[in-house]
Amino acid sequence: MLNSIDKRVVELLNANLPEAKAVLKEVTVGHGSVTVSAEKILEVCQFLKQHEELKLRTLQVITGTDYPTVSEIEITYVLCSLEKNHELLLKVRVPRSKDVSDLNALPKVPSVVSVYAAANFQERECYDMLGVNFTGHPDLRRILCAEGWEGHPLRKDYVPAEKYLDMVINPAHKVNTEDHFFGKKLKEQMDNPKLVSWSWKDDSETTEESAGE
Amino acid sequence: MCPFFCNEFGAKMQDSVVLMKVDDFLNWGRKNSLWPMTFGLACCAIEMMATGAAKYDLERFGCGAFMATPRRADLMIVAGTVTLKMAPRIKTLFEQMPEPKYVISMGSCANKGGPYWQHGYHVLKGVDEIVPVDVYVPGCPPRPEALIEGLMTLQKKIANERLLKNKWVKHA
Amino acid sequence: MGSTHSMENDKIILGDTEVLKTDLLTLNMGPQHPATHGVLRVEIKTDSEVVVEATPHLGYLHRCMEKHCEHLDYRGVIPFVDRLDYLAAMNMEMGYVLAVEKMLGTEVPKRAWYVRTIVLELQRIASHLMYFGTYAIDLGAFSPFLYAFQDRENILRLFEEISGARLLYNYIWIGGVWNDLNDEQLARIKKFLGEWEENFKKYNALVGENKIFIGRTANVGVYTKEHVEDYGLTGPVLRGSGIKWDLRKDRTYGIYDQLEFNVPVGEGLKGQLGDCWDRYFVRMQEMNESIKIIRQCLDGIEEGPVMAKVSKIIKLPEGEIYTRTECPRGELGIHIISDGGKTPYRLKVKSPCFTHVSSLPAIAPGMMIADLVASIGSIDIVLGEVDR
Repeated sequence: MLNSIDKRVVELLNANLPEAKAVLKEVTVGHGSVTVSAEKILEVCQFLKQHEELKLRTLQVITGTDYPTVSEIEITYVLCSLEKNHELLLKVRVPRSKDVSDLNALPKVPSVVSVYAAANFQERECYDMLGVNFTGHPDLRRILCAEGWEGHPLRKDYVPAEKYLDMVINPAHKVNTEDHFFGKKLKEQMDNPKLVSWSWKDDSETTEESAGE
Repeated sequence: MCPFFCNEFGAKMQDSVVLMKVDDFLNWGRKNSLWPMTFGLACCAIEMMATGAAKYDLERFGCGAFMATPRRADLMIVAGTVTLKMAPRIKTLFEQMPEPKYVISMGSCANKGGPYWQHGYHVLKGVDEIVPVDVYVPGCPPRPEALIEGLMTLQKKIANERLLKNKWVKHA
Repeated sequence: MGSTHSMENDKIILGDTEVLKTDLLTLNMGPQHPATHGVLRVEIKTDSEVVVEATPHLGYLHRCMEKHCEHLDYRGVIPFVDRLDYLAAMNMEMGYVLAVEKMLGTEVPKRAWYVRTIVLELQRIASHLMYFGTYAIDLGAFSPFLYAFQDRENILRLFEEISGARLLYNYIWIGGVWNDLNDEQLARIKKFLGEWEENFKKYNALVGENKIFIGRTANVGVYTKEHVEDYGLTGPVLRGSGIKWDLRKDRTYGIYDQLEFNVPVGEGLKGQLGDCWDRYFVRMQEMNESIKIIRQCLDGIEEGPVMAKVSKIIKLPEGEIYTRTECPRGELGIHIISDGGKTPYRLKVKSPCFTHVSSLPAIAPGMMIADLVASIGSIDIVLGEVDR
């Protein structure tokens, strides 16, 4: 990848912070990344921010992804430097907990708010969407979902609630599946199904034809 | 012609006297000066602003005075997606509006949840779950002309109202 | 007469007598408010007119876009990405489509890039005009709003002709654009550019050089270089504080490397560097630069197809990508994690306005409520993007 500093970052981390256990992921397509251990993320961020060669002084975003098959949640920190014009995808992995009822039951990651002030809202969003407890955060509460919301929506096993306060979220008379799949039904009825172009509903097509016809 | 106008006095007065039903007269006044509340939530708000701007002028329908406070507004144009977090506030604002009040649901999201109907866990599928809607304007976002048509439909609806039989007068 | 008064421990002491015990007043700005540009709620604690603390509350427009997109295929995501920053829909689409194209390695035809650039820069002008109009309304002036919308209507009319919609287009597709620009439309764009010089002078004289506007915006809401770094601010907010950084030049994509344009930076002309007037100045100059870019594109546009051959079912290879593009409000980041299937495994949108709103509590203390309104307007937030 263009301007990739991942290798250099791993070298520096292994030299100066070996307990962070930095691991490089190199790829040919897309972005590579550096995975560090979750307990040391604060020290890693402090190191990366003040290092003269890297100068990763800006935090762009903190995202999270849920991998239920390996029972882990992966949190990505995207750091970038305006002076040196490079960026880094820094990842940590924490074990996923099925129990999301209590703050203490959620997986814990140290908060980096003391290093990057931008992390305040980003970590709150990660907590809200995925259920990760950022220890040391000054004000960890839900930011996007409504007050009193239960559950963490971006988890893969999230079941949407039936009601919120006294409003039904998905009333049956408002769901119109009849009309929604009429493209598929139309295709089944027509003599020449290729005249109907509903590409996103085609589960049966295995050959890849080129568009622009 | 009415015999009242057959004398000289009557001839002078015939241009200054209008005979119409009380209902029609009051409805004419009310429907031509609906004051909307600024209630833009999302993308439809931009089209509402464009409708209020110079090209598709809303002022000529009497709706020029956009009130920020619900206490002085007659019309709430719900323009945009209604989320569950915002829904209690919409209900409160609706209750703060003095009667007679009307609601136009503008846009696909306010009608039925819009493009987020299928997997939107935080989207209220239509504002008519919480407030009674008078006119629905479809579109994503609806063109300014569509909103004006919705407004004119509401005006027709108001013109057909009978105030003396209506619930508001009964309460008073 | 001649009394000294001081505030200590919530008491006002007039002379020798302790007179009043005061508290901070908690006010609620929003979610329904004429000056918060959408459903933003700012909880302000004020001491008479001076703000002591401001806390933004978000989520009133959370439309679950990221979860929704996990069920849609890559082409079907484009209308949802449109609805993020609905005032700059083309730029949003570009950011997303760029990420997908980079992963796929699609070769986009040259003419498609020219059309894309014309459309992107026109959208940037439309978005900044919207900022101009609504900012003037926030500060009390009504006419600039009407002028701005009149110009915007010309741009929206062109967009409606080429894409079918006035506001949310679904125009930039994976592999190119779906409809071509014909010669008559190109001539009309040229005419629009010709009228711009005069309009710009009019707008500047009406608002920019206006004594009241300068009084309301100079030395207000100052973002220093430390704020910019700490909070990760981008776009006109970053450039208004004097830092020259534009993704179109520094991390170029498309054909921007072949076009010549300047990057306007705030210079502290009317007050401190990084105040609201500087951000206004940067946005107005950016519109001029966009005009330059469009002129160059109109001169250099080549004949050819506008859509590459892309497979009917788009499957991204396994892996992830993070793309950064320059939108009118800042730097849009699109992070796609793919597991090789037809739908994205995780789509994350890094919205510039989200980070800007998080920096409000840092500059709010010490300013008056009217100044807070001016600051919120100057960072130009769109709640569709903040809450996704």
